[in-house]
Amino acid sequence: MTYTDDHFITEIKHGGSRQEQAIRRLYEQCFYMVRDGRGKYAQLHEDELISAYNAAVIAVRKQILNDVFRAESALATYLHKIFSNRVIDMLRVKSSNRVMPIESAAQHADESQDILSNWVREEQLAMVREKLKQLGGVCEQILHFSVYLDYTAQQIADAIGFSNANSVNSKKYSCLQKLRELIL
Amino acid sequence: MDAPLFDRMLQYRNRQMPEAERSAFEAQLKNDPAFAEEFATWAAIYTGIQEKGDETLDRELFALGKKLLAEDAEAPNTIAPQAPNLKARRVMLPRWAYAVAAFALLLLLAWPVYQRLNSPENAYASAETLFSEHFQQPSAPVVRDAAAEPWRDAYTQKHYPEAIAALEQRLADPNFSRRSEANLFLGLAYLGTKNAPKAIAAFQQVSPDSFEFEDAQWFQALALLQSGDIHQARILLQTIASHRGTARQAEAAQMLKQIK
Repeated sequence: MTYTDDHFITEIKHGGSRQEQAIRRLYEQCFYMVRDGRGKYAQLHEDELISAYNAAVIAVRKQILNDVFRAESALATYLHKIFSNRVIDMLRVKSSNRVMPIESAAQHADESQDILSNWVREEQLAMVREKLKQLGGVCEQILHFSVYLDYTAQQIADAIGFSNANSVNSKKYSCLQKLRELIL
Repeated sequence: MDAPLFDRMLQYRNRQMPEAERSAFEAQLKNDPAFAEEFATWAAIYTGIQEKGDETLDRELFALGKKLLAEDAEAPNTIAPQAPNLKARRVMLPRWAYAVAAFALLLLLAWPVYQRLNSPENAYASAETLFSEHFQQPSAPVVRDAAAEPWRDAYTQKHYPEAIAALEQRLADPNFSRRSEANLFLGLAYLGTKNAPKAIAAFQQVSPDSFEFEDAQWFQALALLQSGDIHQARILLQTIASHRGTARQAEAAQMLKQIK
């Protein structure tokens, strides 16, 4: 079964397990890019092709969530363009011809559309990366489910065995506070 | 800002705040340095969680990708018994037969080129020659998930008039969203029918913000060459050649040297 662009966009924006399932379906549906790439870009190992494809899928996910994807071309065409650009960058690095990487319109848009990016200081972000590792299992899970995957509190409670949505919410905010204290 | 206000930051980021509240929020960000500092801290936390999420997703997708390739590798084993027969049949042809076939094919391909190179017209390295040297009709976009589009089939089968009719019909619909892609392939279909002026008009409709714009510029330059407008073609090629890192940069620079 193949899924339409509208299906993917709706499901990814919905968040939660529906988003996770849509990402997986999109990944499988367009995986022919990696398969075709094995013949087309023989200089690259299949792991490198998968990495390039993963980066493209993750970028597309982000752009759908940020409303940057404007559906001027099909989702697969858009994904293919980002994938090709990543592959070309890899080939350039391999040939030691370190030209500036292609700056695709998608990447530009990706960076420019998130208003928070103007506020983030690199040294503080580095601190967050480090301290996230210290948070521990439950906090890590709750923040991932809630902030990254956009699960509802009830869905998180069901997924990780909390008694109810309220306890998930209160744990989530205590995890955020703990993280904030760790980085200050 | 305390942790529940993390959600307000997300409302602001996701443009889900009512206009009045948004204005007040922005005013506070501008005028209250302590609030702005807190906001920056939460923005870093949010970004860090997103980055970590991307890493997790990358790992999960990598495992999925490896699994899919492993499944592909296993699939041919189901028809493996047939493979030796095919191989045996292939080696039954003597090697000289391959050599003769290759030579004949080479001759077949090279003869028209040789004749063309020797024609008196070629001495002028005309715009038409440049066009034919550099123009390759690209294939229709690879789309395996969307609903069938009649223009894509017609274009793939080189039925360019049908492709043109179907694309123009799509573009006549004001609600049709993929206008840049459609205009690019409309231009290419017109080039396929050697109607350069119409092709140029279509390429000019491709949005500069779209992914198709780089291709549209390239094919517009070729269409200008086909129509004999060397001056405009040169200007466009100079633009393409000046964009570092683009796919057509080197080819455009080479063409500029060739244009008389």
